[in-house]
Amino acid sequence: MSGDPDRPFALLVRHFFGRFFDTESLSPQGDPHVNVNQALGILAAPGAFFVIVCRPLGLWGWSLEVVRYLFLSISMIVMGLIMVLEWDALFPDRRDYQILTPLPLRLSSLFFAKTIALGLFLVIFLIDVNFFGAFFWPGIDQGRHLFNLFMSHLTAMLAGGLFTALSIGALQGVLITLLPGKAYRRTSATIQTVLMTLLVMLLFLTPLLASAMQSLAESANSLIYYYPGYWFIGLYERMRPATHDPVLLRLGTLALRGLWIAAVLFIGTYLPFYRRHARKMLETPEPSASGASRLGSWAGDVIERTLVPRPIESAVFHFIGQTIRRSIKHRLFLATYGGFGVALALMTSRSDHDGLLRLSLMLSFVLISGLRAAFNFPSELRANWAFQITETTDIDEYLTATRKWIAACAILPLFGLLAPAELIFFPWRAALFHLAFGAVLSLLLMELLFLDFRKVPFTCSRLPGKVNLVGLSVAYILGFTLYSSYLADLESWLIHVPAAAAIYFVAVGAACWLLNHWRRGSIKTAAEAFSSPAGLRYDDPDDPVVRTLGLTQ
Amino acid sequence: MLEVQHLTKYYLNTPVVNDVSFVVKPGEITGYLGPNGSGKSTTVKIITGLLEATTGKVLLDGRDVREDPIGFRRRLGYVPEEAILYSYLTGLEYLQLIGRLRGLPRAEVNRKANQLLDCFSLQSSRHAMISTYSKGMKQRVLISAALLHDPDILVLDEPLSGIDVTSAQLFRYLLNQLAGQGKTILYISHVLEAVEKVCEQVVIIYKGRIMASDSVERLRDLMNVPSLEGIFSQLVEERDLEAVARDIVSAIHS
Repeated sequence: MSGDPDRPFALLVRHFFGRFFDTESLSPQGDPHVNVNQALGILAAPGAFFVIVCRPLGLWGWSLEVVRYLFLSISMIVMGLIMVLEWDALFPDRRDYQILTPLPLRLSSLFFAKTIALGLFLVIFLIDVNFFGAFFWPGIDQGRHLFNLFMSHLTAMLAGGLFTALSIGALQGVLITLLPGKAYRRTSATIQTVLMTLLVMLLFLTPLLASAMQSLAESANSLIYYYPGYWFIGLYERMRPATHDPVLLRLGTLALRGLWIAAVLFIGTYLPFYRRHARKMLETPEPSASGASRLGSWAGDVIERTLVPRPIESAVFHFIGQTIRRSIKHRLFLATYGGFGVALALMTSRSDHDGLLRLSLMLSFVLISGLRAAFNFPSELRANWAFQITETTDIDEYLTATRKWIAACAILPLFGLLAPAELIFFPWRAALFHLAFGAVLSLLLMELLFLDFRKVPFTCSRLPGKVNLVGLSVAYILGFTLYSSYLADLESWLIHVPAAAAIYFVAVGAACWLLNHWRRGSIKTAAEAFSSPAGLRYDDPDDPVVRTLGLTQ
Repeated sequence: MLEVQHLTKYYLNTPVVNDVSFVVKPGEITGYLGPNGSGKSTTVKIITGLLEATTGKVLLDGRDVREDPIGFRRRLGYVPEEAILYSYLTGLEYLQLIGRLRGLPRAEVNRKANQLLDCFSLQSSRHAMISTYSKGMKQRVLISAALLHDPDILVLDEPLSGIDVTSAQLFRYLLNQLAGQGKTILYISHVLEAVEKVCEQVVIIYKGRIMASDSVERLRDLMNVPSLEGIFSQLVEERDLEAVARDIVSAIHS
């Protein structure tokens, strides 16, 4: 985007547009210009991929509807994800107001500049996401009238994407209208996280939802009326019939109605409450009169006495919890994993008895690997001097605290949540065995995944682009498959052989102990090699200027 | 006693700290003075172990601190130049975090944290997130965090930045009392009046080099000027500040 530097309004639009790429959730430490190009490239890729895959197929009828749904789902979900990531940037933030308010600018100028920037931002992403799909669509749909094909596809995709964007904007507008400042801040963060989980879940459920469409429509199942993704397939069907299904045609009306309602709500809340928001942002929030609730204090006391009695363990344990609860970036990151996990759970729950056995293992794998990835992202990195300056003891206490947090605040609650379902679907003995099997295995997985993790979570810098994504994906897919599938088979066998089950628990316990012992040994060896205590890592080591083959080592 | 011996730090072949040596004695408050960019904070970061020196060493009671960095950190209280804290924690939570990381027992952490917050007039804001604090409030949290474990050595980098007059006065009394208890205090600042009121000894650094290191009284006598500001101007300021001010005014009007 280029703005005329001599015209303040153009400069404001440019400024607000740039701020969309400068949010903590989207670019924690990146260059906004690089992020624009990267984001546009990444978002255009799925459409191009599906075009290449689908063009030779020659589709019609319900097969065509399924492919339409794939494109529509991407358009809607991507726009939703963008709006969720930009949740805090939809209105000017405190920094904007503090800098711009003292300048001789009208609030209306700020409003119109922000609105134009938001409009431009949405249009650019809508076009980007749908560019390849719309451009090459006439080759996928075998019908005549190329221009009509192109336009109806583009209209359905843009309408779907716009609907999601406006709905999320309207949701925020309604919240800001109805709730007082403090309640808004609390609720807004929760809703942003829930939306992220929901959208990621829908993304992974796209094939399932696409394949379910025909049966839902043909059986006139009422569920089809509740999911907006299907509404816009209905709209598409009205513009360019592929199946002439009456249910789909009726859904088209819902799409138009939904789009209008979202637009009216968005305009009706965004416009008038802009001024109110400005005032809210500039007011310093009142400090809370009280700290943790009585129950919270009691739980904290119990945890400190029983689980983390040593001060450093306690410090790290609480720090992890506080960061996950309050850092937007980390919450959204974990919500992404959460969405993936929920999608897996829904897909698995449709399958057989073995599927249920695999479910807890799958979820624990997603949870622990998600936490490991989240712990690697720094939070307020420059504040880590507090850890560096106070590192006064063996680092094992810091590392143990991280493990205790995962066990107590992630693995235990996960299996606690799964327990009622297990008790419903399995006899109580089998359910208890299954829970114990999964929990113990999760502890072993945690030891394996955190073997070389020598940091306090969120305190170490992270250099982008160092991760070998292909290698990592292969390792994760393999690990995931082996872990959830083969170990579910092992469990099915173990439950019938008590002696073998006992050996399993002893073996996993021994493996955990050995891994711990090995980790402590490696820290000690490093300390002896450098003649100083082996410290925690605060800097992600950069690539060397010259990478040697290491032949002389 | 804290000794800095021949400390040098290079950034991209440029020495930002060049052969810096000075001594901070127990029971004394030593001021470390210099204009912006003179190398004060780099020296401090090396002393606290946040940066490594290119050459030179820091000794505590005659022993290189690198021999026992953990032991040194246990005895050190540090207020950094910038108030960089975990802004999503509350003031109380931040002090609890630091107290626990310092290895203090839970009851002691809670008692001391609340007492310090109360003394620094932060009790009513203790449950508010630090992101909502003013600069002065953040600074008071940092000072509290540095004192929480009763350190022997205090390294205070611009501790009064953003602090109101009353709190600044309180802090000066506090420093005098701590020095009276035998603490080793290094006070870094570019606010000459504050240093003159608090410090017995001053070290003046300019462009990475030590320009003077002596008691304030002796420097006044030696240089025949009545104030630290005069000493400082003679040692480090080469520009005609009145002329610069005239240039600024003409730039505004142009």
